[in-house]
Amino acid sequence: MKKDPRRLRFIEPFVRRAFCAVLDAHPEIADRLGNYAASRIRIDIRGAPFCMVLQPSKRAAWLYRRGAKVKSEATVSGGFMTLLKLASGDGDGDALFFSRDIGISGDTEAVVALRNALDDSGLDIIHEIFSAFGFPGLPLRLGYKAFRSMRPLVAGMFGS
Amino acid sequence: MKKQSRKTPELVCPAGTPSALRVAVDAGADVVYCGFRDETNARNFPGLNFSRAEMSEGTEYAHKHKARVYAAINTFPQAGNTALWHKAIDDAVGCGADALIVADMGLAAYAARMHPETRLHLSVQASASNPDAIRYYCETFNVKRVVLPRVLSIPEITALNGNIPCETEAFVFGGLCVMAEGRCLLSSYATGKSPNMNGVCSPAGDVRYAQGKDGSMASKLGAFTINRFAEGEPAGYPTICKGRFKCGGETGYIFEEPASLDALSMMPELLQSGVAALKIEGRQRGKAYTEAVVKAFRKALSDYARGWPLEIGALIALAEGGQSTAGAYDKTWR
Repeated sequence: MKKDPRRLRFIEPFVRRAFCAVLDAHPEIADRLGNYAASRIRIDIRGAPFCMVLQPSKRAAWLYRRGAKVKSEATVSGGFMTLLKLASGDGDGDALFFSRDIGISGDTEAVVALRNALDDSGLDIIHEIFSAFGFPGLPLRLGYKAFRSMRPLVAGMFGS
Repeated sequence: MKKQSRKTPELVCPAGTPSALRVAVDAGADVVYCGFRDETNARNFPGLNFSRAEMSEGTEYAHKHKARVYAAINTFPQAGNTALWHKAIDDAVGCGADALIVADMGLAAYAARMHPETRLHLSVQASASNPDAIRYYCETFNVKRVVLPRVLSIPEITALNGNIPCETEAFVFGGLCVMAEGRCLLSSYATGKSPNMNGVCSPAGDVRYAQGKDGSMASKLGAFTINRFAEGEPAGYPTICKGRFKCGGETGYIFEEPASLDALSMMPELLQSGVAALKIEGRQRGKAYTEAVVKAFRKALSDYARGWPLEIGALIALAEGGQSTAGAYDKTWR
């Protein structure tokens, strides 16, 4: 089988495992998504050398090199910290859209459904992801809170 | 005639999800209003709203924390399909809702007939803005409260409160609908769907955003380009009433600029006008919005009661288009 040069296969299994762990821990996300769970949503982290495509119904996550042409129904773009805030319900999606901190394209319904599903889930994304790999959640959560408090300092490194 | 409450007004707060309901209650809401996951309420957005079980659990949570839940069933039943709306009324009562918010007369009649023990509130979607109309709803359906359209000035609200036999509820923050609510056809014109009949203004399925290579963003609704924002320019909702159009040789906002209502600065006058409840719009917003706005207004009510100065403008980061207005409460607004 021919390799797809656009994909970052080395990291993909880790991303997929973390994504599945989130879906397993929060079945209400799929419930709220309904039919939109079949949508492929591209997550474009501004400044990152890659983008992610997530498809909840297939429990699938793909990682592509930045700039690669990727098939998806919708795209959400934003800085790393902004997207993290959005996924964790710490930021209001509409306000982040008004301020242009996040951008949306493609199927707006799918993005709105995802936003609402995540917002309701009470997802503690750092805890969930690290727990998926057997790391203790609490110290990492505290570390993340400290990381957020230093946000202005790290914004330049990771994008706001 | 006037039956306005003299006690501290109710703070009525939005919840689009069970999480938002809990956040609103914890942040100091007296009342949380919410709807079912279908077109029976005017915020029928994908991934939003409550199942029957969630509504029951939410009501239980609210009651446990001395708060109340109002069920918004405030769209207009479609011809030949009233069963969905009637069931929503019955189920909301079954879930323990403390009041029903309705707009349609037939639905008001059904609720009054089938559930006379449950408080009935008239939704802003009914667009009742004069004493005769409001009195009719009160006398015919035993409506206890009317949610006022966001087009009335404070002197008009004061005059209204002296001439009606029910309480009034006034919006103080959130999306600003400047049309005759419940009768606006702009969304319907562009997409075939409206908040009145389908629970969606500018339905997400008809909205597309196009990101330009120069950092600009165009928002499109159906076949219409609603707006084009330059790089970094604050954006607004893709509604026709907040669109920027070419008209008479000029390009500009024909109806209204993207802005959110923020009447915190007018709160003392609103309270003196006799309103019984202050309402925050935004069931479609995230729980971060809910928490920030509810806390700000709870603090403002507390500061006002103590005679302390109010903290104005603290919520600007949450406002549509990055700007806020006191709307029709402030006469400088057109």
